[in-house]
Amino acid sequence: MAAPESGDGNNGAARMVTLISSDNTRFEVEAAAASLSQTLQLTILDGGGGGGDGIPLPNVDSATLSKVLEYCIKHAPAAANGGAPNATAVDRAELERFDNEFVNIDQSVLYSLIMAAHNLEIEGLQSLVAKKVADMIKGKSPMEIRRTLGFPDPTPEEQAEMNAHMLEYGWAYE
Amino acid sequence: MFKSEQPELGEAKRLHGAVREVALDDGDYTEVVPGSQQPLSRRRSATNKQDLLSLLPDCVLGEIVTRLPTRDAVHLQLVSSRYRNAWRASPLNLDVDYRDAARVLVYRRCHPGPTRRLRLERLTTSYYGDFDHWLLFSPALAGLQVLELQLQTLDNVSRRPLPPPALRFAATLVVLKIGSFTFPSPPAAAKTKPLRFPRLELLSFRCVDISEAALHGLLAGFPALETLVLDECVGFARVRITSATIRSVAVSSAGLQSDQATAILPRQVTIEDAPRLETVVPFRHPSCSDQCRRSLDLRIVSAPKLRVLGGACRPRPCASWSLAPRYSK
Repeated sequence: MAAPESGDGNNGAARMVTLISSDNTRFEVEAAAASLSQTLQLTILDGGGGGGDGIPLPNVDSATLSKVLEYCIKHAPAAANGGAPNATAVDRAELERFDNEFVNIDQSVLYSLIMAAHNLEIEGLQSLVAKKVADMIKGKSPMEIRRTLGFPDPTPEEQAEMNAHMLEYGWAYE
Repeated sequence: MFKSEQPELGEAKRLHGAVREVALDDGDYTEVVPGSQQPLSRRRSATNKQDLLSLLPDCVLGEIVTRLPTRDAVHLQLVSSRYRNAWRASPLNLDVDYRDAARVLVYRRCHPGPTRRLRLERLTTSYYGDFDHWLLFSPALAGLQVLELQLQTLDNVSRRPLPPPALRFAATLVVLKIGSFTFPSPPAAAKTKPLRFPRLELLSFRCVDISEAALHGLLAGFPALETLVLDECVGFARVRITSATIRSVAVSSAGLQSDQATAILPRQVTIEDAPRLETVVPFRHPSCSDQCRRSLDLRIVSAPKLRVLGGACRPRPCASWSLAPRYSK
């Protein structure tokens, strides 16, 4: 069972592992792709997830997991090359295009994705979603940020606090 | 490829939809709860409605905040005190132009550091002295990864000496962009100890005055350099590039010397050994004369991976820099 980690297994014999989402859906995926998750990497290196066993992921539902795996599969070949040293500019541009498209999603999906990336410790995905949220905030006023993120209107205390802050530092916000 | 046994991918998409209906509660959701005249959304916003960021753990929030330009991070901290704490706890991403110079002091007062990125654009000479001092002494800048300094000039000719403290970040810098400065010449700087930038990936000099010896000394100290931009630089006639890591080089003909504003100096660029080099862009400016265009002599000795070799014409001579996303961590 504990086949050696095949870095760039594009042949049919690439090792597969099974992941089980919180709602009991089974996903079979190449070990190299699943290993982008720091959380799963050790288990997979130990030979887990193969055969009929599967690795349960109680924090990730099937919809989110399928999205996460879409990312992992796309990024696994580049990661197998140890980051990017051998990737060509074309490959990198294609990944970038995929990434942009990938996070063009609804806020609730984005939220599940952030949590899954965090729980599974997928570094590239973590920074991708963090950047997406940062982009949603950029160039907006505090009130617009509140509306964009679905934040409730400020309570009187919060409003007072904001006003006090603005009184002291308001000139710095122009 | 992976297979999902059930549900199918289409099913998964529908599941996303279902999640959205429950979690995303925007203003025009007007379901009315039986026995209550008040729309559900109103009640939720008064009680337990939560925004996207409030649900996230602190460390994730910090990751997001540190990616924001200073101005947006400051706006975000006005939204709630939790964000303010997140901002204070994450490395500062400081992005200001000359009008903001005074603001830096406010940000500094609100934020204890460290700073990950410092971009000072359109510095004027009057503020210049303060920043010099600040760059030299601020412990909050230790570990700086991205440094961008652009002096405000009208003519692309006048320059100022680079503040020596700018080089104190050599050990940690990943991106260094400098515009309209004079680089310290070797007798002053490099004789004692050659500068080394072990992590630097991108170097961009625009209208920089640097001697040939200083430039070569500098290029020898970049074990990780991937991108090199030399735009309208003066002070040297030849550049030799030998790098195991470099991927792209963009180089223009020489800029104008302040003392001989009409002279056009020939420039020879030799790429001696660059096993990873993919792109070389020798570029010129729209205003450039034919003589100026011909004044760039590019020689490539060994670059086996070279794919793109072509000229580019910049739309505007003073186009501002932008930071590639991958560096804006």
